[in-house]
Amino acid sequence: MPEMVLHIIEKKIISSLRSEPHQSLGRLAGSAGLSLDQARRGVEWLRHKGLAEVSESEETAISLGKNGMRLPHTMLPERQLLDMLLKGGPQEMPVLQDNMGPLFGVAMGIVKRNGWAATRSEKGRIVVSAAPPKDIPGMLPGEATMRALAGAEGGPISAESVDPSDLESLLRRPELVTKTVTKTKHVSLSEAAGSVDASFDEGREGGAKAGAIDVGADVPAAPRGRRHPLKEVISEIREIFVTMGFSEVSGSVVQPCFWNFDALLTPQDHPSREMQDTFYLDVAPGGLDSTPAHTRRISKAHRDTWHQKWDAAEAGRMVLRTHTTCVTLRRLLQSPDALGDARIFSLGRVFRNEKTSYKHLAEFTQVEGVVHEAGSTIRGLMGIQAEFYRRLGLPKVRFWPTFFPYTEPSFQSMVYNERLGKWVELFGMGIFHPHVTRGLKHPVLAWGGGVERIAMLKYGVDDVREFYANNLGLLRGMRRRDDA
Amino acid sequence: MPVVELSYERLEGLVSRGGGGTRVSRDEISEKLPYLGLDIEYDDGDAVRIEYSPNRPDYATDVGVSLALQGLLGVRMGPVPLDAAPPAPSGPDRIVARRQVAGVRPVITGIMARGGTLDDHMLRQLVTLQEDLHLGLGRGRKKVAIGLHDASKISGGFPLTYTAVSAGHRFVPLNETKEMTISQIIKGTKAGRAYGHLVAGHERFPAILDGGGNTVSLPPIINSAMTAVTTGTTDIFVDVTGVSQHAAEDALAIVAVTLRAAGFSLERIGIGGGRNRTPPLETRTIPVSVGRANEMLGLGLSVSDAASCLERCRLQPVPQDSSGGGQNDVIPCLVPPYRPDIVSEVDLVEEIALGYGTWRIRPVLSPSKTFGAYDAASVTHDAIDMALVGMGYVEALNPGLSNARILYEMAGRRTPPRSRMISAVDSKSREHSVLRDSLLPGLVENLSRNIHEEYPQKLYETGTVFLRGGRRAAGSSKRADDAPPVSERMHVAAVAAHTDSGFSEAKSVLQTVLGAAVSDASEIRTAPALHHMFADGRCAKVSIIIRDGAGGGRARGRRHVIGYAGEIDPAILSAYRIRVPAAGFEVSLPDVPPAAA
Repeated sequence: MPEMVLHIIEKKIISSLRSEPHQSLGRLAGSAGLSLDQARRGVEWLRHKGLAEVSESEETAISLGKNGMRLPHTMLPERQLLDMLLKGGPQEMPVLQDNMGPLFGVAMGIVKRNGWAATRSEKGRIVVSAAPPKDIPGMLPGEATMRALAGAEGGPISAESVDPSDLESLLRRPELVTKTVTKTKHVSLSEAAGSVDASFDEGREGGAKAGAIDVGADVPAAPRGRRHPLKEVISEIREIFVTMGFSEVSGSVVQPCFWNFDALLTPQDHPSREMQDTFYLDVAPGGLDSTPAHTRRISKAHRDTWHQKWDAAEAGRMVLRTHTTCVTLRRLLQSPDALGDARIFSLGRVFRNEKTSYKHLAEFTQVEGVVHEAGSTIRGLMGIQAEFYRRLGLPKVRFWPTFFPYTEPSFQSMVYNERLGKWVELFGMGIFHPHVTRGLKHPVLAWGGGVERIAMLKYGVDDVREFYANNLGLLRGMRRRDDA
Repeated sequence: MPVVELSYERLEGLVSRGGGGTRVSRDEISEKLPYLGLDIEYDDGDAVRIEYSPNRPDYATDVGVSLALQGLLGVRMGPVPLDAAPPAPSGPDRIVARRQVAGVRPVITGIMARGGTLDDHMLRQLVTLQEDLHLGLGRGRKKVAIGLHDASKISGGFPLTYTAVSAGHRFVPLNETKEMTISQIIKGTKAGRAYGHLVAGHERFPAILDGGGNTVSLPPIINSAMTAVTTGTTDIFVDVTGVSQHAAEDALAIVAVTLRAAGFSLERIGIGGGRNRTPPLETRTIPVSVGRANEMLGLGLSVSDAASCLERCRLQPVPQDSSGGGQNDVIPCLVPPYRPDIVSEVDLVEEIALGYGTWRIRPVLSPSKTFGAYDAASVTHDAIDMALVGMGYVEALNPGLSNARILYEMAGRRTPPRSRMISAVDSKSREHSVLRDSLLPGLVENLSRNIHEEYPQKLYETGTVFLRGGRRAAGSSKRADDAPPVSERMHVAAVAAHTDSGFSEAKSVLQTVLGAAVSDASEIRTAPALHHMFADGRCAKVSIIIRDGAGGGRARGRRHVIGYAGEIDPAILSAYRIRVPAAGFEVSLPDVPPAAA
């Protein structure tokens, strides 16, 4: 057999197993003078080299359960009752009840069922008396096991150390004792280990030659901490926005309909406002959180555009926001510097009352950017988009017209994905309808969309639900693709 | 968004028609479809499935799409003439609405389309258009419902009467062979069950009767079998009923232009009674400033460039009166009645962009005039992420809209009445039905999904939790009496599951996290406490002590309870079949002052 270089840990394990051939892992660690973790690793190395064999055995242990731990002196309640009756003679039921508390009922049931005690009525009072001592077993069923557990401070003790039927009678009762099955690993040397030189020089442990290790051996994976892959993409997007001159804002997830729909000119009878598409909350309506002037403007815009009455009560219902536009728009309209130049963005969860599928979630993350400055144009908006995607590593971009109720004109950006071999729809964009931003100095460019779609391209994920499955294997292993 | 499948062969024919012999190829068509705002869902070279925007129901048929393609491809530009013959000026109304329908469904309008040919394909397209209009503009037939009839089969002839009849009124409805009463129709037919509720609650039901008293239609539920449109029908009578005259006339115009483009000639019908009128089918004039269009789009179009863009969208710019003199850049544009989506100037700016060709609009990048900045919360979150990831934690993301099972049942709490939770109304999935008030229950549930993964397992999450009752968000402009019914807080929670996990580890990790996220002038205290997630005797209430002014105006040395730490109750773990012990914490972040710079 070829010469094998062994680590000091491996040598210690081999020596120990040569003096005692079959040991549990825990015992082996002790006898070889290693920590449990060292022993575990050493055995794993030896197993890979075919020098050690590992077998597993199961052991059933029992310990006191929740109710068992509450028993005074770990004594079965029926034994407690019998002791009182045998020492103190027949007694009235209420007295016993006071002495034993809630355990009395259980104890009484058992002793009566087994004929160890009887009750009789004396002048309207119920008196309990014990059966003659010869009719009461010296050891009640389960008592031997309870004593063994009491001796071991509640356990665990091996199930094999007690009488099975005795134990069985306890296991039938609720949470007196619990049973746990543990698996133990036993290590022994393989035949091949017989010829291995396991000698080592204690004094030179770790030294150049004697301490040399098999650097080619497999080692266990070190667990890695990690930010969520989706959060990594979110951070990247945040970074890009900030470097492009945008300031981040955040706002409430729960919004009145007014800001989620009405302020964006979504007609009050629009299908998207129905409960099939939007999550309404079972809470009292809050205020609109708008100025009277703005509320009037919006009310009038609804009447003029949609030829229908506008209902303030409907606008006060609370919803989980269906987009982050409400956050950016509120900031523009409500911030004192609303009339200055502003580039702001917001990132956050949005909600749609949809059945989830590989491409739809009921709750996902949206990013939304707005530009309020003189000379903003659609071409400029397209430029910002193209630059944004370029920085994200998505260089092939084009724009198609589309429709959004609150932007005019409206476009959507498409990026080409090599892996899928097709154009993928990403962010929507446009200039806010003048009704939406009345009161501001300039027309407002706006765009936004779901972040998960970008993350799907970046990680090559085809089922969007994976981002919220919290599967550790997936989270630890998800890798960026370079063809995104 | 609505979807329709079109055949390239038909599209080619329709688009090339009237193009003076130019034959348009399917490549040109498929390349231009997206630039009309139509998303291609599927394209096999013979058929193409497109998704169109709900504001353009005229795209529900291939004739409608062809009209737009003709414009964009330059085959035929300018307006699509409806050429609807006017009703005889002094003739009697041919549809009369009676007072009885006023309280139920007051509006009726209609048109006659004659001399067309209806093949199987066109018939199906018309039904698609009708259904789409019912769904969108018609709000599920509540606002508007459309009936198509074979005019030659209206046996009692005109004038028609729009009136209300009793539930016992009988006729043979479409797709049936026997006479049925209205009550039977509402209970016994698919359409009756779907739309009966729209007119239920009234004793009488709206109906259109012909000159002989025969039933033509029972809007918005069903037509009569008598007037069923089939392949081979040459003359179609269209009725539109509803509660909004605006919406009814819009829908009528869209059906009318489709029938016109399909080869029918249109005749307007005199309509009266109540507030009803003969549909004007008029174009509207909306002015658009070319300067404004250029300003918004970033283009340098001349007035005539812009006018030709509008013509490519099948609109009708009115030629500029040069005698008016000066540099008038405003184009008065005539908008046909089948384009109700065009309401104001910005809508025409969009049309100019569309007609110009979106593919020709080049992006331009100009430098930013502002400097970007992170939200303070993001900075704190980054610090927390760094600290926890550094200690080997993996970040989890759970939904904010969770459920009672995870939040209560499995978390050692009794499920409270609805008035104490924040529930979503009529959620489509039970999984997403209650807003979370804490993060830890989600993380423990996550552990239970990973019992086959390697241990140690360490998970954390930062996220919003929701509480009933108003607490004004920082920076909100709300007045105190206008507080929202729900308040939101940012929390961080972490849990570690492995054989040696315990309270000390949880507290130690928490200290490091708060040290990273919070000014180091503060100190953490833990005191014994009870909490449903943690084992009794292994749980602490966590407070933070602000020693100096780092709390931003908070009193010095004041103690703030920010959350709990402890060993997860073994009963919770065992209910989840988690076999290793776990410990963790959850604290609230808004109460935590930001780390000193």
